[in-house]
Order: sequence, then structure tokens, then C-alpha cells
Amino acid sequence: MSSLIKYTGVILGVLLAFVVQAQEMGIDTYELNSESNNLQGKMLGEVITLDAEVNTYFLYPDDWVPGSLKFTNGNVFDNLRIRYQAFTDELITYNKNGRFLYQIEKELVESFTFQDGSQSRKFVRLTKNNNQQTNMYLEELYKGTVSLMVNWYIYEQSVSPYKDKNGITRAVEYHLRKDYYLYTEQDGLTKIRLNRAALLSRFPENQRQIRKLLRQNKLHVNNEFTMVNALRLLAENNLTE
Amino acid sequence: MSRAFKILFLVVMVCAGLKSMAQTTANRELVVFTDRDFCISGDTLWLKAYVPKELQRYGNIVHLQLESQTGNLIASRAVKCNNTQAEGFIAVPDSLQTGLYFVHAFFNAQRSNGVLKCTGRSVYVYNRFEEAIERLPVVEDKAAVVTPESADNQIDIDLEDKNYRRRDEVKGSINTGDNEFVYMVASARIIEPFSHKNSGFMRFGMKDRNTGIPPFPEEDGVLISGSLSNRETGDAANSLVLLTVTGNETYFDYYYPDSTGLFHFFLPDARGNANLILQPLAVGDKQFDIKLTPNFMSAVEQLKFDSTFVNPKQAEIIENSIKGTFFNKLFRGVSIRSKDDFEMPNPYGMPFYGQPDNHIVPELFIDLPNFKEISRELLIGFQYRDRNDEVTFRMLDYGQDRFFDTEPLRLINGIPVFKNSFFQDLQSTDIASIDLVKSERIFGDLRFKGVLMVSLNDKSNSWLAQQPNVFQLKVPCIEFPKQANYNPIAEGRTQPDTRWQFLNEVVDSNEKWPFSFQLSDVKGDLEIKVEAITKSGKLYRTSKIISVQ
Repeated sequence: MSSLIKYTGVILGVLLAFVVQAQEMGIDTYELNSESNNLQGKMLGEVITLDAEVNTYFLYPDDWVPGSLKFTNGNVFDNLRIRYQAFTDELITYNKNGRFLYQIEKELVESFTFQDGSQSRKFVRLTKNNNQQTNMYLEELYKGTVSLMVNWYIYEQSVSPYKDKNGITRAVEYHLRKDYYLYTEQDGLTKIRLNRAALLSRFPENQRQIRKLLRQNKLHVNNEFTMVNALRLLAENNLTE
Repeated sequence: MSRAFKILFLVVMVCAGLKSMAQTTANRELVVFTDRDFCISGDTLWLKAYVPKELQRYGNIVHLQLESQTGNLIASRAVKCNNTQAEGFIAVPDSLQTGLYFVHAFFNAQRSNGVLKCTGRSVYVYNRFEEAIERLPVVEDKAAVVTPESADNQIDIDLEDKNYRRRDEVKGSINTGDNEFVYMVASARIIEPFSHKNSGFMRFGMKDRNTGIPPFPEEDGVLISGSLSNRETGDAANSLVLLTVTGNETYFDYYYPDSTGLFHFFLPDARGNANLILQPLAVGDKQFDIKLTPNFMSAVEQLKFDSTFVNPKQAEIIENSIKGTFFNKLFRGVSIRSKDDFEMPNPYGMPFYGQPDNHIVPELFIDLPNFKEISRELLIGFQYRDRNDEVTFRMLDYGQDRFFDTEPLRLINGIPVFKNSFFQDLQSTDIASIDLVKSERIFGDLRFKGVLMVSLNDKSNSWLAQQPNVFQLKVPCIEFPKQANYNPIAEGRTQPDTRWQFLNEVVDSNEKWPFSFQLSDVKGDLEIKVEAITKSGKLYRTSKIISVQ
């Protein structure tokens, strides 16, 4: 028993020495291995911890999914475990070498893709020109001269106080919502509803031809799928000018 | 009879197959062209390399190298290839001995190919202090020599005049018509008979002697490799190696070596001579040694050489060329100056530790005598603790609203510093700016609990000399694009003009390609030649020799 205490003491001492050294360096190194060496470029980001609220309400998809990421400088990172934090509009990934979570430096991201069930989703980072230029992640539903993008966000709704499943009293509910945007390189992002009137108002000079084209193709624009088909038709008939 | 015919047919088919295989192999080889057959030590040898499309998957950085008869690397350059061509130069060392040397080219990613084939060139180098050259080596192994086929029927070199005198202007055109050539190089030089006869294209089998270098495809950047060892024992060490490249923008990277101690860094878009600062992260007082591994390939087999007498006429011409080069340098200066130019844009467009939460410019405030005062007055969210003569730093963690319990990453001019004593005596007049990052940042798998970055007015980094385990090295990266200057000097006839080379350009026209150049004061046989390569990798050449009186 006494020798066990001695050994435990020695091991703790050694570990403490390492910790002290690591502290002096200002760099956490003890989880590194040869897989940490990526010659093509390194990931930049900020270490985060997820509290219960974020974990329950704000993350999409529901579980960590395999994904890949492309930086604006061309660096590509594959085999990541990622999730999208819809409330703060940040991309989160897990570093298995260091066993920590971090949010990826948004300014560097060009696009990321992940597998959501059987569907592969691609998000791109675009800048919205409002009063201040805002970087946003938007899902790319259709890419063309006019692209259809979706902004996933968390809508915070005030409700009568209630107790959640953990017994905590709450007065808000969170809902995952979507805003749709048309994107062109020239005009940037323009918010749009998924209906025919909104589509026609976006192309006022070609309204008659578009109306005729939709009628001929029996296309009733009322959801993502039909809007994508409508935009594809418009592009094929050069009506997106 | 019928059986004999069958065997004959089989033999013919096998031969045809082998020939087509040889052509296919040549199609996947880099082919090197030089602007001259000989050079004087201290000269600049200008090179062009044809890069077949099939090789472009290996990246776009071609390594050009000059190798001795015994397979030792003399000099090398990394150049960026543009589509199917790479251009560059090799500065032949001033002290290089007289002898036969070889120029090769390769992509780093070709290391995994086993024996690598390349069509290079042999070049004679005459040491400029050599008084009398009596014998010179020649290649005995003729199988390695590639003799280009004649292109007299396909390429026509037309000159306006028939007779030329010194300093005359040579004008003409190269007519290529319809042909199957994918790359053509036109050159003109005064012939030095010995090298003209005994140098030329050679097919090299090259092998990776530095097995530690990975076959990484270098795309717009260069791979730097090296090894880390324990200074006391000499054994390989596997401590984390930090790299800082100083310049207009500081570049940072790390590598965690395996048990062999080998480390590799890729420097994207690095041009010129990089100033590398390598720091193995030492625990305790351990001392390390770092050695960079030169990126080169050596010949698989040593060629056999014979020694041949140089006849008096040849010796006289060689002597004249040595003198001519001396005068050329005297009056024209050195064409390539060793510049310390370096360019490397930040691949992330931001510091590796992210955008700082605070950027402080001390110049905007009153002068403060030391870093303790600076931190108290200007650095909000940063603690400078001085207890029992030990200085510790702590950074505020914004997200958690508390201070981190360990030291932040400390940088001076972008270089990691592991002793707080370096900061103690810094006055606000020494400091250009201070960046504070008040969150836990990651760079790859490294984690930093806050970052303190001090940018000094003095960028010389002389303070580095005081740090153990810091290795400062100058490393050549991608060569800046440069062109040879074969033109005469502007001063005119008052100064001697002893140029031997006049032209070395890619013929980029399928019809009439005009050229002109002014001859120098050197008399002798002038050769204007075109060397060409077909898509299948076959070499052709045609030349016109005129006497300059």
C-alpha cells in the first residue's frame, strides 16, 4: 500500500512538472501527434464550451456529422466532425487530437459541406451589405447566375412561463427557421419568399415571359424544390438578366 | 519458312513496342536546356525546362540542380513553372573546380516514383583561376548521351547577311512551318570547340537519396525539411518544432516530428531568400541541434568518365573565354546580384492567432519606462505579476469572465518567446504596437490561452541571440522570375565587349520567328541553333554556324 502511494506520488509529480512546463510555454502541446502536422495549412479558430441550452436548442444537425471545409485561401480540410450553431451563425468542429471543441474562424471559410441524413448540404459564407457588412453562412440550394440560398437561424419566441424537461422555468421557446435569399455576384443577397409573386417582382422586366414560362411548365412556385426548378428554367431561357 | 517469318514478325513487333514505350517514357520527362555548353566559375548558367502536361499533376515548382561528376550537389534552385515551361538560373560557385557537371530537373512529388528519368544537360565549368587546362573529362558511357535528331528539314534558320564581323548586328528569322514540336528553344553563342563537341543532352536516372523528404506536390510553394536531434547524445528528438518566417508579414507554423526527428514545413508563395527561425520546444534545459535537409535527387549510377587531352587550339580558346568572362564582369558587372529580397503573403490574411481583441499603439500615449507600467496603464485585461523576482503574465478570458490560469502565448515581432524577462525592460518608445487576444485560440492542434504580441520598432530581432534552442537560417525559396541580359552595354565601343552568348529564347511561333542581336568583340564560330522537342519526347536540333571575323 505504501509503495502504491509512492508511485502515485511520483506519477503525479511528473505530470505536475509537465503541466508547469506547459504553462511556461504558453502553448498546450501534450495532445500532439504526427497527425497534427498538416502541411497544406492549419485550422484557425477559438476554443469553446457548449452549455446545455446551446446543446439542446441551437445546434444543427442533431448530432455531429462528417463534413469538409474549404478556406478562402484554397486549403481544404476533410474528415471533420462538424455542427452548425444556428443561433450565433458559427461553424463548430471537434478536434480529436486535442479533444476540444472550437468554432472555426469565420472570415477564412469559403464553404463547408456536411452529410445530413441522406442529404449532402453545402453552406457558403457570404457578406450581407446592410448597415454593417455581415458575414453569414447560407445553405446553397441552387447555384446559377441567380442562386437560391437559405439562412438558417434560431427564432426566439416569448411564451408564458413553463418548466422544461429539466425542471427549469422558461419564458422563451426556440424555433429553427429559414430565410430565403437570391444571390447574384453583382447584386449580392436579396431576401425572397417562396412564391410566384416574389419571383416575378425580382425580375420586373421579364415578368410576362416568366409568367408564361411557369404556366407552360405547369410550375407552381410554393416551396424550395419548385423555386429551384423555376430558377433553373429562368437561367435556361436567359430570363435572369 | 513460315515459322521463320513468324519469328521475324514477332521480333519486329517487340522492337516497335519497346520503341513506343521509350517514347512514352520520354513523354513523362522534364527536359532541361542550357544557354551554353560551358561556363566559367562565377558565371550564371541560364536554364529552361520543358514540362510535359503529364507531369503537371506533380505541382508547379521545378527544382533545377547542378551536380558534380561524383553526384554531389553544387547548387540548386526552385522555380515556378508556367504551363509547360520553367525558367531559371544557377549561379556557378566561384571556387568550383574545372570539370564536367550536370544539370537536372525534378518535381518534389516525383520522389515516390522510384528511379526518376530526366533529360538533362552536361556542361563544362572552367575555373577562372585555372592557368593551363591540359586534360578534361568526357562521358565514356555513350548510352546516357542523347543525340537529337536533325531538324534541318523542319526548321529553317534564315540570316539577312552571309558575312559577319565583330559588333555587327545579326538579323534573321526561324521558320518552323507546320511541325509536331511542342517546345523549341533558339540560342546563339560563340563556340568553344571542346565543350561544343563533348557536352549535350543526357538521360539521367535519378533517385531520392534523402528518403525522409515526403513526395509532397509543391503547388506555389516550397517544402523545407530538416531533422531535430539531441545535442548531447546526437539521437533523433521528437519535440515540437516551431517555425517563424520573418518578413513584411510574419508566418508561423509548427511540426511535430516522429521518432526519426524529421520535420517538414511548406512555405506557400514564398519567393526569394527566407529568414527562418526554428525553435524546438524544450522541456527543461535540453539542448537541440537542427539540420536542414537539402532537397535534391542524385544519379542512380555513377557514369563512367574518360580523360581527354585538350589540344593547344582548344586550350587557347578556353583561356580566351576565361579572360573574356573576367573583362565582361569588370565592365558589365555581375548580372545576378545576391539580393536578400523576400516576399511571402500571409496565407490566412490575418495573424495566425486571429484578429486581436485590442490593438494598442503606445506612441499615442505618454512614454512609460518599462513593461510593468505599460501593462498597468495600457493593457486592459492583462495582468503583469511580479512575485519573488518571478514575472508571470495572465490574460483575461472574455468568454468566461476570468483570467486564464496559465501563461498566454507571448510573441515579439511574431516570434514565440518563452521567458517573460525579455519583456521587463521594454519601454513604450521601443514598441510599435501591442496586440491582445483574450480568448483561447487554436492554430491547428496548438492551443493558446490568450496571446500577447509585441511588435518592436526594431525589427532586427537581435534579442534572439540570447535565447537557447533558436536556429536562424537563410533558405532559398521560389526564385523570383529573372531574365538573362545578353545585350551589349550602352557605353558603346570605348569598352571591350566580350560576350559569348547572344540569344536564348523560346520560339513561340509556328511560322516566322524573327530575331536579332549584336555581336561582341569575340571572334570565332558563331552557332545559332534551335533545339526542339516533340509531344512524344523526341529531341531534334538544327543549327547554323557562321564565322565572325
